[in-house]
Amino acid sequence: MATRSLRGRLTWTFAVGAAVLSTIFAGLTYFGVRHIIVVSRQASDLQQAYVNAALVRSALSQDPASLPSLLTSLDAATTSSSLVRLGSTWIEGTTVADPETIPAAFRGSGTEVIRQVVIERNVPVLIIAVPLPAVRATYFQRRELADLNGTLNRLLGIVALGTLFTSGLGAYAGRRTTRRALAPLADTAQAARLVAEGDLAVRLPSDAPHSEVATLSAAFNEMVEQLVRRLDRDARFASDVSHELRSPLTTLAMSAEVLRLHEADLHPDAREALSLLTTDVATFQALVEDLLDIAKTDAGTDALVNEVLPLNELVSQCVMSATRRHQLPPTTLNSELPCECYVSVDRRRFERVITNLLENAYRYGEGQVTVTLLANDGGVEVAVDDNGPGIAPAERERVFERFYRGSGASRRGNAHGTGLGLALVSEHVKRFAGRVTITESPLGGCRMVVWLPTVEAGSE
Amino acid sequence: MARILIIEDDDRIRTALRLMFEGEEFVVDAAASAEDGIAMFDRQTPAIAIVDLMLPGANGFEACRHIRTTSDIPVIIVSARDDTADVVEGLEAGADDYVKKPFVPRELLARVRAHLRRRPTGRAAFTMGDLRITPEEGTVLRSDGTEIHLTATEFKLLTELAGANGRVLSREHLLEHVWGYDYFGDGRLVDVHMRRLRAKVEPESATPTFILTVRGQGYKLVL
Amino acid sequence: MSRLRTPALALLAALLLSACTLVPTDPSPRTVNSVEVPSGLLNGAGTKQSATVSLWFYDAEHQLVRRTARIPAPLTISTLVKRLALNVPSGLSTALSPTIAMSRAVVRGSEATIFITAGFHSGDTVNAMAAMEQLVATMRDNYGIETLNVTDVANGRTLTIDSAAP
Repeated sequence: MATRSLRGRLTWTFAVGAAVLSTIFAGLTYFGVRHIIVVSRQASDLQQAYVNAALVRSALSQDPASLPSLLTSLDAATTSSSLVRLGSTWIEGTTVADPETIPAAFRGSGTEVIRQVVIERNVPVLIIAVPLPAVRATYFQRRELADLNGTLNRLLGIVALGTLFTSGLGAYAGRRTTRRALAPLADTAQAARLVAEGDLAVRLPSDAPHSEVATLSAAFNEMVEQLVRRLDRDARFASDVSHELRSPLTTLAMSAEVLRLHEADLHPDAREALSLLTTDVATFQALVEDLLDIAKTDAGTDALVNEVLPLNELVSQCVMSATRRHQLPPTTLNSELPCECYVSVDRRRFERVITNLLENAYRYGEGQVTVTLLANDGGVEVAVDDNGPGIAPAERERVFERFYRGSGASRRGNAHGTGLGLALVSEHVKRFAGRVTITESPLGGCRMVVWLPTVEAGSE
Repeated sequence: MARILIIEDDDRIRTALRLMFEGEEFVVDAAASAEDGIAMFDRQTPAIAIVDLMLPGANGFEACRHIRTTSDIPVIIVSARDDTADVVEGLEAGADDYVKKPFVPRELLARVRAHLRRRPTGRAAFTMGDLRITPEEGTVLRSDGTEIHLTATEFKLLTELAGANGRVLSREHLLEHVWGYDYFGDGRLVDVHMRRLRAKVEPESATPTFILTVRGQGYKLVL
Repeated sequence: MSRLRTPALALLAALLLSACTLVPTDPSPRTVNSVEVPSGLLNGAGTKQSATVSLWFYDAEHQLVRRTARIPAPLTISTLVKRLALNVPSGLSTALSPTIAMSRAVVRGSEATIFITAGFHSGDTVNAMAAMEQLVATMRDNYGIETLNVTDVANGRTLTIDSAAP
């Protein structure tokens, strides 16, 4: 089910609520007012009919000849039309009122006053019949209620407009209210996004006017504080552990070195054990160095010394230095750069990147490693190829995780990686505004590509 | 048979260092505090000193300063801290080089040997203002005959610059040829030593006239 | 949302529909309680048993002459017509056939229309006109009629006559 906007929903609810309420009130108002108008109108019409009937009665009893003129004057004075029935004789005023329009129900010689509202040619008409037994006549009064219809029509129009307006107002108010009510939610989402992107300085304002929002803000801020404390503690822990390991590790390394100086005096088994010891102490030292490096990067306490350097020379120096220090086999270096390109990097961290990539290539490859420089995508690429088994696409993201050990790759030789090499590569390259990716190598193994933006030679 | 002074408060590291250097045929004076180390130094001047900056009581900086008041021997400081300001302060106090804990023993040995090995040879004597520099003898004499004491590192820096005949030498070049580092040494070593060298040989060190900084490239010596 | 929209729209539609019959109509006549009727309109008190009317007949010279007579109330046109046709005073004559019969008469102001069902020969122009003159004179006196229409229901023809001043 697709997620729906809470705000849209609330707005709609407001609008519908306003519509329903205003419709109910409009309906009550309309029908109430209609009832009052109609009842009072019928009552006054009835009174009018009685008065007219009394006049007709006295005219009939005193001067029947005056009846037509009386009806005419009655019709002129009121907006109704009068009829008098004397047996089969119908006497009318001037207003057109055909006796045919009197419903059949009224034709009988009733003894009671009756009234009825009927529709004639879409116009409501009130008909009142007053029997006048004293003169053996019946007085009829017809009155069109078109004006009443007009009044009610206008009333209905006003009420309907009011309903529409109120519904619109409800929707608008709902929209406004929900925007204000949900604004803290949007702020929180934005802040959470920023935190997720690594901006740990983000906090929500703590002076929210509403207690619910204040609670949310406080909880969010507390969460971020906890997160920061946790991250700090983790970073500090790694750093502290490494620090504490330094002194004993130094002693260990030097003791091994002393033993190595006296290697000739040792039993062959002891010599072999010493070799294992020396190698692992070296790995251990590298690991502590890497951990410190990572901890500093995490804590953001290491200052980069970025310099603008020619890539060609930089990489060849790095390859030379790494080869000498780590006793690596000779590595082929190809440059496909169209011209000398400059990059802005921290020299020693860049060397670290190249060293780690080369070590990795020799550790997991079959011994053939090449480094290629390419221009690409507005920057330069340093591609390190090996002829090993390569890395499955599914694993390519994960090899940059700390202490990730590839499933397919078996360790070769007796030199262990620290498990942090590629993680450091990724961290450092990111800080040079570059990126590391893994593809397939033309040598058959994997190709690690470091992309870096180029800079102008003269810039510092 | 070089004599080496080691000032290190950690017993185990001190012992290991002593054993290692003795194994490499050094005569080792090992002190556990700056005070002991200074006393040992005063009793018999070593060829080189290794000083841990983190010491109880008077700290390693003071030991450096004391050694520098009377001697030009190379001093290597050991820094366990990450704070790079410490390294700079140690260099300002007169140290020639530094290693960080945990150090690789062979690297420390290599550094020590590199510092002991240096004695520039085959360079002709030259003058710089009213200074007479004689690399063969390792002396810098004013025209009035008074000697200016340069440390071994400072002297080597000066002769290296002089040998370039006015060309600009990069920090990397100087690190490689004076300290024996490869491309990836710490450029601050060069900068701190250059500052100290200027203070000694320039008439006005704030406005150098001989040793010039070429921004973004390195240093050159104008005679 | 359409769940909510439906009743709202239905309510609005109902309101609009009711606009067609704004004033509520009554399906059948409603009786007003007789106690509410004022002025004793509904009782027979003061019933006039007879009325004096003017009736016009022809004399020997075929001139219209007026006679008065008392007739029982109520004074209806059919009573007048019957008197004119049947109760002819001695020495006078009438132009109306004794077989004359009417269904109803309608008086509207000074104009009256009589619907004749039998005994009126609209084709016999001389007699018809004589009868019309006799009728309109009588009607003028009793109802103030100035124009009389006589409709022969049998053939639908209508004759009209204006009352001449007497």
